[in-house]
Amino acid sequence: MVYVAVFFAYPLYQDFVISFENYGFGGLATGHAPFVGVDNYVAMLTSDVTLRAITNTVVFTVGSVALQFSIGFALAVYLNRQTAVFAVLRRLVLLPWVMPLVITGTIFSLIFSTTNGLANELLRGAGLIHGDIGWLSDGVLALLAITVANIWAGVPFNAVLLLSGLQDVPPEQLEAAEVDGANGWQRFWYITVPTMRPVILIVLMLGIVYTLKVFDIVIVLTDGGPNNESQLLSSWSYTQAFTNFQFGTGTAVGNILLVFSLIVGAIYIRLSSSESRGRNAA
Amino acid sequence: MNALKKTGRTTLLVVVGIVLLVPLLFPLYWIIVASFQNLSTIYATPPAFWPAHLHLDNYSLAFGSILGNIGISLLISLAVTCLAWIIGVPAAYAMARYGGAISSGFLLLMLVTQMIPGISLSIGLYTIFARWGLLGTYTGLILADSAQAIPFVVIVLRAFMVSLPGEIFDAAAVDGAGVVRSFSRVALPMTVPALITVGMFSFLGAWGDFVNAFTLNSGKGPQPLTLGLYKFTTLYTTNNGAIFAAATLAAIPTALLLILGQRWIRGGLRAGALKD
Repeated sequence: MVYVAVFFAYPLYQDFVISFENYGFGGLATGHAPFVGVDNYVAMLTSDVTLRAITNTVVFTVGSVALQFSIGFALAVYLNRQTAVFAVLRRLVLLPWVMPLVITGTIFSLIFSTTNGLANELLRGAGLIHGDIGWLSDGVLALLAITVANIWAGVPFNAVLLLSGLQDVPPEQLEAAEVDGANGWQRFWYITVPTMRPVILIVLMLGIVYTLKVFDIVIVLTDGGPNNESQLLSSWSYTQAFTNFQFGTGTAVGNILLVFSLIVGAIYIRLSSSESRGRNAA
Repeated sequence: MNALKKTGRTTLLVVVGIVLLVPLLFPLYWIIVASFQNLSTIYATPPAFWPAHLHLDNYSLAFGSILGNIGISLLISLAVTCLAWIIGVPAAYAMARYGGAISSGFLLLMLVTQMIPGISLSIGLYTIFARWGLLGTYTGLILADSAQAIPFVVIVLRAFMVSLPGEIFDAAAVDGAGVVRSFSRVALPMTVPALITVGMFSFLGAWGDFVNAFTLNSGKGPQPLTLGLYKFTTLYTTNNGAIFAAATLAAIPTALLLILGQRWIRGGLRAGALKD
């Protein structure tokens, strides 16, 4: 009987997931609403806000991933030590990652608040500015604030995965290179990095996929404002559907984002399956 | 000379550590300290970076509101964890033991679901739930969150179960164990650590969910922690002290989760992304 349950629950579960997804793809436009063809897409792709949201999403994603990765890698190298202190630190650095992004957004809205936010206090303390900067009331600065918050949230993820990659680098090879007179940098560039290539690629791809998904931070920090200037595709899709009640155009924007994600996702799946094949062969 | 070099290296190590770790951990410390200050010390220049005196006023507002949200989040996250186990574990077992083209097709599908942004699904979900009367209900939110959790459970557990040696199952079959027995008596006990890992991730996923809570709530439904905190900050925009306290209260259970589960969380991060 449980046998039946296993094979009943399994297809049922498949249905469950697929039903949601197919509906998300086009159900709204073709289902109960009048058919409008590609009008939603045309309307959205010719809207200034959408174009801005696409640019913002690209800037946000590239900026976030580049810095999350670099800082995460530095942190991984730093934490890759045996002493007990580092074991404690390795645990502590996960904190920003487990925090729900809404909490992250709230913390950073306090940091970037115009009056007495931490950012303004520190910059003023360092003598770099005199007045207050309205971080969240300027489009470019608001996007910067969102990106900084997201980098903060993403560094631990990169660090943990890269750290586990570092630990897979065979110590014998590093020792052999040291005997041959290679210095620390040379060992890093010529042995560590090439050995870690698959891990590095996967971390970068996953970083892009996760960053494209980010929604909570924008909503909490800027809500796409001021004047839609810091909209990402995710928040713009939400605004269209749930604030302006344009479900058709909202899904159109959501699907533009989906296409981005699936392209990167396809690359990721190819990379990770070729990596595991390589491992099995070896 | 050597000793000098060693001190130099240690100093460098500490300096690098400060540069890397302080920006990462200081924001959390800062909100905790600020949550115990009254408005005049939060707004002092320079601001207080250590708790000179403990004011608890900020917490009076935040406590009543956020505590209820924590309870709701706990309930939803536990339900999601159980549902993801109930559906995900047998599915993973079936895929691992009886592989083949269909099974790898499903696996690919599971991987693809991990890539899809929640917001791209939420509008579709909203219209379905509107018809089914699930908007703003616990059931709806639990179902939506589980749909995100189950693929991860299947992916990680399948990989783990594939690595179990086949001979054990052959031996169990020789001893007369059917599919049910070899699943419940042989596979499950060996999978316990992986079960805890995927359970932690299902829990954390539901715990941190904002997209579903926000879009499927329809203004009257249960407010988990994320939505509660958001509502709180939009309600008390001018009362930073209360927001500091609310954010701290919201962060505490999450930090506790990490402390209790960090062994499994690190393993799961690795397993989910690198599929060892």
